[in-house]
Amino acid sequence: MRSGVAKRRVLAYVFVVAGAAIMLLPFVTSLFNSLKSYADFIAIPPSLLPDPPVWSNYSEVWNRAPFGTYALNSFVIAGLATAGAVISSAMVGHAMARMRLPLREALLTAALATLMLPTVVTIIPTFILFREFGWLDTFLPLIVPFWLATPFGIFLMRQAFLAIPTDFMEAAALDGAGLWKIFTRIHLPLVKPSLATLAVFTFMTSWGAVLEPTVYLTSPEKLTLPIGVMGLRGQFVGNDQLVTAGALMSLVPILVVFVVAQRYFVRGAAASGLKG
Amino acid sequence: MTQHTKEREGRREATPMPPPPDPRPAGSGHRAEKSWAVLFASPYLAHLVLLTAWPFLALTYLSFTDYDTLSSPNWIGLDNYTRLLRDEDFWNSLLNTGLFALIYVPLQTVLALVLAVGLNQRLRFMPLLRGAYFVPVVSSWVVVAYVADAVFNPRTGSANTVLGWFGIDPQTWLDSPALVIPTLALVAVWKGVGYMMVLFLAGLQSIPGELYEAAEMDGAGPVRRFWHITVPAVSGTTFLVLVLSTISVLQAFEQVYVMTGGEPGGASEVTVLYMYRQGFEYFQMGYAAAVAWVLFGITLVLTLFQLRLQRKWVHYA
Amino acid sequence: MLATAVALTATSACGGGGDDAAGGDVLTLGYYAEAGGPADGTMRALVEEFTKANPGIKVKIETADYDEFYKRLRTQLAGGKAPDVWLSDGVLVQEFAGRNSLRDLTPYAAGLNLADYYGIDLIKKGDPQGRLFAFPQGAQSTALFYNKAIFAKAGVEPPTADWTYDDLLAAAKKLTRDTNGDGKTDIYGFRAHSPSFVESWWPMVKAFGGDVLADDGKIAIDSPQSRAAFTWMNRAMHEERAAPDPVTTEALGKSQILFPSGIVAMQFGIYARIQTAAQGKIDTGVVPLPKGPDGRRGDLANVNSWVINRAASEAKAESAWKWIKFFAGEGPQTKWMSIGEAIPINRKVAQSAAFLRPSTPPTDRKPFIDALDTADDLGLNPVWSEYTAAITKQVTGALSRRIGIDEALRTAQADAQAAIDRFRPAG
Repeated sequence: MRSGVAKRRVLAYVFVVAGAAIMLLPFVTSLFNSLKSYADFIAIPPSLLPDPPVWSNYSEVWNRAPFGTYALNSFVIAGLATAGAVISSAMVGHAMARMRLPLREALLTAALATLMLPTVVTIIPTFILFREFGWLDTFLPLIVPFWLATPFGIFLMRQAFLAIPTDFMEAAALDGAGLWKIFTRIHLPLVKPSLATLAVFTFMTSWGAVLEPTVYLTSPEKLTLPIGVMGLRGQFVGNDQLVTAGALMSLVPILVVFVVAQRYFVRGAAASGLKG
Repeated sequence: MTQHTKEREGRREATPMPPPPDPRPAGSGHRAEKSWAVLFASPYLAHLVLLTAWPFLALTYLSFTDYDTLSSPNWIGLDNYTRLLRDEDFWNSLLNTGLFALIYVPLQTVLALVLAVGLNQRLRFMPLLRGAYFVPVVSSWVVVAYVADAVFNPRTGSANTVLGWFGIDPQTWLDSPALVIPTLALVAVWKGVGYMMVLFLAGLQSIPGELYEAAEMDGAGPVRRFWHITVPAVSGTTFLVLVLSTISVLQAFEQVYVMTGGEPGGASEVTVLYMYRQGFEYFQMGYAAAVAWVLFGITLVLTLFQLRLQRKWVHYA
Repeated sequence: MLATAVALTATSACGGGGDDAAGGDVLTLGYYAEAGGPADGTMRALVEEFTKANPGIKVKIETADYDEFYKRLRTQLAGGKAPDVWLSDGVLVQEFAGRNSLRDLTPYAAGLNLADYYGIDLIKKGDPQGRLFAFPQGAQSTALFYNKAIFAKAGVEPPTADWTYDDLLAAAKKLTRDTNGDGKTDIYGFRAHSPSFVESWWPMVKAFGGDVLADDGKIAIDSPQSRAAFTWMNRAMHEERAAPDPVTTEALGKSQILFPSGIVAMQFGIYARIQTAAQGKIDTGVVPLPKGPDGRRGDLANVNSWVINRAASEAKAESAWKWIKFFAGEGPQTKWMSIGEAIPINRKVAQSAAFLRPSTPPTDRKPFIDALDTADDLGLNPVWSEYTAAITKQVTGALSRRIGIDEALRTAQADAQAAIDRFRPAG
């Protein structure tokens, strides 16, 4: 019996390690590609390793476009979007889980419907709306929607708040100050893992967005990283090796954020009460 | 949304962790609390007005017009919808979307669950391994497009090298009309499975260990335990994963836009991309709005269908 | 109410223009280029030169790669935020003009001797009323590219200006080789199929006496002549196997990699392909396209052009025109020529020895100039992207032998014509 358990563990281990390799190896091969010269990149037969590695591809990409500015823009947008999503979703989730919100069920259903109206479907009317607000070519269309609570955030936070047992202070509080205190001092600290999960997911979504920045941002100094990377593509010249280098460079900041946040985040997902 | 589903929605949410009983007596304080609740919920109320109701109404109106974004919309009645019915490219895009979903949704759900079970062990380097599955998740589609090229490039990619080991002819993947959708779906699974796996991990970690111990005492093997304990216990998460994956397929715009742009010859033109092209490339916003409406209708029907089926197979512990 | 709201936003979009985008008297100038590449660098240098010469004009540059540039431009137009002057792909000028987004440049150009520039007639031909909605910036025409090394090695006589399609196929068969004896072709004589149709089926259809968009504005692809052209292509690809079929073309690494990596000995190419050939270090020669049964070559040209936003103020349009005139001058055209992306539209520069007989291959570039003189346009109209997409879809099916040529052309004809019939001119 014992050896059976050990064997199973080894099997499971081999399985997940193999899976992890499948997840990571493509990044390694694309790293090799990013270090090739164009002639090397299109050579027949193709070689796996760059020969010789052209490290200057990376400095060339860095010099070709203001990637520092792009990265800063991405950070500002993703940061403000994340802050907005976390704050607003926590408030709305709290109202839905712990407060006497009129039409609670109807609003919850509406959130589900909203989840089904994707950005790309609503981009036309939303574009018209933001155009009227005079928000074109500003960061606002990429940030403000997150401050209006995301449906996913509402579901997540509502579940988290539901899982907290009632305490006597909550029962006694009837005025605004009391409610606000309970929200910020007692409940919020208890749902930190869910807040972390929401923060990471929102940051990721905003960081990788392609559609909205293309539609809303037009000034070169306002572009985000993914758009900046795509700007390296040539119409006539072959330079996939450079674009690959740019793409991998744009991955670094988000990887750092992820590595730092991973601890909170995995725990967060586990504790978020999403077990259904 | 029907009254029917609303009720079940409520029950689904309520069952695992019922809202705490309210010990407070009814009284004058409630009105104040209600207004506070509305205040708390106000961001979402604004969301509903600006980002749900307005787009919804505008889309509905525009779908009955001819609108090139530069001059005023022209009312043309049902013309856009009748054109949709006869538009082969539109039907083709629906077929492509359907094929994408048929491959992506089950494959991703099963893989995510199996991986979660594999990773839900207290072993060395487990956090590191879990992290590996998350690297594609945090990568933007622009990054994934170039990383996937290292695998599926017909000439230099590693996929053909691997096929070569088994004596299989090289394939053209994203450039092949037959393989482009399966390839896109594979890449989507590769990118998304880590995310769904984390959701499953959360579900798994809330299954009491005693359940497994008891089953093992009864002589149940690992496969039996998986089917009789794990699968039912995470059925709620499975439901969530299914809904999220289905919605994400119907919205798979960025991936297709960045990776194939609908090529070759429309073989990977999914419905959202078709809608985008009509609206933003051919300046036919009215027609695009009609496509958007149909897409929303399909999403709604599918989600309602999943909600209805959910009752048959989701068990709440 | 909703109708009013949408209508209101529509009218405000019309009036918007680039004026409020960049404040007072800054001219917004848009162009597409690979970020930080030679074209981008040269363009910036020329802008600097221009603003030095015109101290009263400030320029704000908006640039992106080709795809993003047009995606963004279309949104900017809808939002009333488009640049005052931008570089338009020649084939897209009518899309913008047809939607009332461009200024008619005829009165501005009155002060110039238009015979000094290439491409004017092609731009005028695109407009039903013969107006000049754009001014040439750089031109592309077609020629037959060949890899001198492969020809020499195979002992095949290089192509000449007198070649027919029969000669082309005969030579392509001789050049097609399995060099390492593994039973697979390693070198093909010719690249027949490319998604870039200006270098593939379009000139062939014209050489065989057919047409895509007839002069009366109607689609004309479904004809015995185009059938003959597609039959020739399918014979070259599927029967003689002297050219990779569409699937093999992709498998070998996309149509534009074949020539630079030495997999094909010949291709139809536009002028800009000289760059990719050079990146692959190919000793390239160019000759005019081969002749069809009636002696036609089916030459095509695309004139990339500057256009001025209709919504730009008079003053800005004036500055924009100064920039356009500046760019067409000998100095800027010579600098633009040096990056090797386009044929100069200034005839003097294009006829200079520096352009016609450079030291890098191909050393004789006259075929491009000759082609430009006689070339037709690519069937321009306001729904160009849409109707050509409809045709491409069917044609790719026929060339991959998924559908018959007859059926493909019939469907292509109907779908493309439907796109044209749907269009309602703005105004």
